[in-house]
Parts: sequence; structure tokens; C-alpha cells
Amino acid sequence: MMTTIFEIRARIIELYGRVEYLLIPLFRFMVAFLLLLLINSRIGFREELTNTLLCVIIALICALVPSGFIAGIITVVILAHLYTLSLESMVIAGVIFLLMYLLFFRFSPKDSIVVLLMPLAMVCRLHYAVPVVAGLLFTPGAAVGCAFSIIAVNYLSYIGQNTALLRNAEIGEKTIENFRIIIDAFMHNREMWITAVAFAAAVIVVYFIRRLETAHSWTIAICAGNVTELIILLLGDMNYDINMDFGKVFIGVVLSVIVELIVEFFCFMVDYTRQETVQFEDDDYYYYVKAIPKVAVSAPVRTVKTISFSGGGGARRTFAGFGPGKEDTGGES
Amino acid sequence: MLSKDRVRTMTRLAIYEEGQGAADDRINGYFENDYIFSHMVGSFVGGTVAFVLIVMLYCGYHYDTLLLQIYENSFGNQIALALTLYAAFMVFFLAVTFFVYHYRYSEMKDRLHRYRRRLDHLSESYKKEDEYDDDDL
Repeated sequence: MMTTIFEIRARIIELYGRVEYLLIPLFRFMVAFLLLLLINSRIGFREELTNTLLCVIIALICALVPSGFIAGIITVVILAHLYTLSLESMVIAGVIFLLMYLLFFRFSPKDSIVVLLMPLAMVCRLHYAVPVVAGLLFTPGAAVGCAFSIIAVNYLSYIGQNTALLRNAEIGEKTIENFRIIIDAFMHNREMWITAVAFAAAVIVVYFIRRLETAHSWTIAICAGNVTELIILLLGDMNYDINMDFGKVFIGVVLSVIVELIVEFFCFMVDYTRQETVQFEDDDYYYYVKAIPKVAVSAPVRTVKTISFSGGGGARRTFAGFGPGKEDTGGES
Repeated sequence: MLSKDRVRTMTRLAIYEEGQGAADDRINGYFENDYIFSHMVGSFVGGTVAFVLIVMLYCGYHYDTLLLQIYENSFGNQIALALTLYAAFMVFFLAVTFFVYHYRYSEMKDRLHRYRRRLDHLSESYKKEDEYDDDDL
């Protein structure tokens, strides 16, 4: 059973290696396109930008640029929508995004994919997986990205829910009033702040545990990351009376654990039973080395052996079967 | 004859050169202090702009109170507080920048060291092959 699973894994990894040059742009296209559809459905105030053909064109451009540029393009689209609603909502969003670029993207532009995936994961209630996976695959800097993405998503959903209140065509007294309403709602959104802290803490906990030398460090890191998220959310809920729906949170965490285990299965699969510890020395150092072999099962290669009987009736029989890692020799006997 | 070991080493060298190698080569063009300093200058500018943005949001929110304080000439305390917060924020941000880029530079040095060791290994394997061929002749 396990061998079959490892064979499937080997086949998928091999297939990915062969079509990686197509899959990465396709992934970027899908992320950008789904994000644009999500933005249009929540804050699609500028009608020109809600055109599906235009979304496809923007997503196609996004497929060809790095994830940092995709974040920039999506930001411009969001700001254009918000400007149509009101100047104050656009200014505050602009400040949030600028802070994100100035304080976070400077250090780790590659981790910007975390910011892009968070809103999509939230739609599928898989957002609890994002900080854990970020801790497994990226640097601790992704903690800032996770926190910022939670803040940005909550801000945009607040704007989407209070469109009638915030709609303002003229600059004047109402601009300042709306500005204060938005800032107040933003600063007093305790659920958002607690979630941001929980996610940032989870990234850091996962990153440091998965780098430990203990066996099963990735699995322990996944468990610790999810427990950290749950504990901080629970403590925040108890202290500030937020009334989070913990049934939904729990379901989200369970679904996220499945995603995290799939990521672990593909990115870090080692055989701890074959762990070796060696000690040796050279002129300058003593070396204490622990080596843990990766689980490696080569994908079975179909072997076709053709047996022909020459002479007599001239009969020709063909046998087909699967052999582990054998190559088709095409030989005849 | 094709040497598997050599092919493996050359593949690793090529992967490094085409991937992380280009970025490492760029970083290696700087002395460590210059590299860290240039990024700290960038962080100083970025951090200052970020702080100004936050102050602008604050001023927009407390627009009428601030106008009153300017009118009454009691604005000094606010400016002192803002400057203290700015100094604290910049010290923290620049310290983070220093540690991040110091770490990146030392990581780059390690990768470059491994790359050079592999190059030496490859060169030695060619030398050995040449000596072997000379002996045969």
C-alpha cells in the first residue's frame, strides 16, 4: 500500500519536473485570475475592470511576471476600485499596501505568494494552512506577510460590507467623517488583530521547530503550528469577547492539517528507520553527522519483452509486465 | 570515458550557476560592510516613508484636535513624542535590516565556498585522468 503511494508520489514529482515550465505560469495565471474574480465580486465598484476578458488579459500578464509584480498589479486594481467608491477608502488601502511593500517585501519579495494565496485560501476556509505551509517552505519573514494579508483582506471585506455608508463623490466634511469611521472600525476589529498575531506566531513556531534536529520535525512543526493558532485564537476570544465560531475554526484547522500533510508528503519525506549517525575527524575538526535517507521509490517502468520463435510456424508472442525501475531494452530473445 | 561522479558535480555546478549563483555573484561584488550599509540606507528611506505615512493617517484622524493645538501653540509635546517614536522605530527596523543582510551575506559566502570546493574537485578529477593517460602512453 505504502509502496504504491510512494510510486504515485514519484510519478507526480517526475511529471512536475517535465512540465514545470508550463505549470508555474499556469499557477500564476490561475492565482491572478481567481483573485481578480474575488476582488470584482466583493469590491467591484469600477465597471470597466469587472469585464471578464480584461481580467483574463491581466491574469495572462501576471502569468509572465514574478509574484512580487503580481502583488503590485493586484494592488493597482484594488486601488482603482476603491477610488471609484471614495477617496478616503483608497488612501487608507494605499497606506496599508505601501507599508506592506516598504516594510515586508523589501526583505523577502519571494514570500509575496503568501499574501496572494491568503484571500483565496480564506474562501475555501483553508487559511489556517497558509502560515503553517509558509513556515515549512519559506523564511520567518513570511510571518509579516501573513499578518499583513489578514489585515488587507479584513479591510477590504469591511469596505465591501459598508459600501452604502462609505460611498462619497465629493471631498469635504464627509471625507474626514468617513476617514474616521474606517480607521475606528479598522483599529477596533479585534478578531482581525488576534488572527494576524496567531498567524504570525504560527509561521515563526513552525519555522523554528521544522529546523530542529529531532525526528519527525516537520510533523511536530505542523501540529505545533496549528495548536499555536488555536491557542492564540482561543485566548483572544476569551479575553476580548469576540465570539468567534469555534466550530468553523476547528473544521478549518482540520481541513488545513490535511493540506499541510500533503505538502509534507511531497516536500519532505524521509525514512527515520534508516537514520545513520557517524563520527569522524580531520586535521581541524571533529564531525558528528546524522544522515537520514529520503524515501525514494522509482516510478515503475513498463517492460515489454518480445519473444519470437523463428522457423517452423513463425509464431511471435509478446509478454508485458511492470518491473521496478527497469528500462525498456527492446531486446529480443 | 564518461565519469558519473564528474557529471554529477558538473550538474550541481550548473544548477547553482543558473539559479542562486547569479544572485550570489552580485552580492559577492560588495564587501560585507558595503552590502549591509547599502541595504540599511534603503531601509532608512523605506522606514522613514512608512513612518510618515502612519503619521499622516494619525494627523488625518485627529485633524481638528491638531489644528486646535497648532492654534494654541501647544504642539511641542506631540512633536517630541513623534520624534521619540520615530527614533525607536528606526532603531528596531535598522537592527532587523542589519541582522537579515548580515545573515544573507554569510549564507552567500558558505554557498560560494561549497561551489569552489566542487570546482576544485572537478579540476582534480581532470588532472588525475590526464596523469592516468600519460602513464598509459
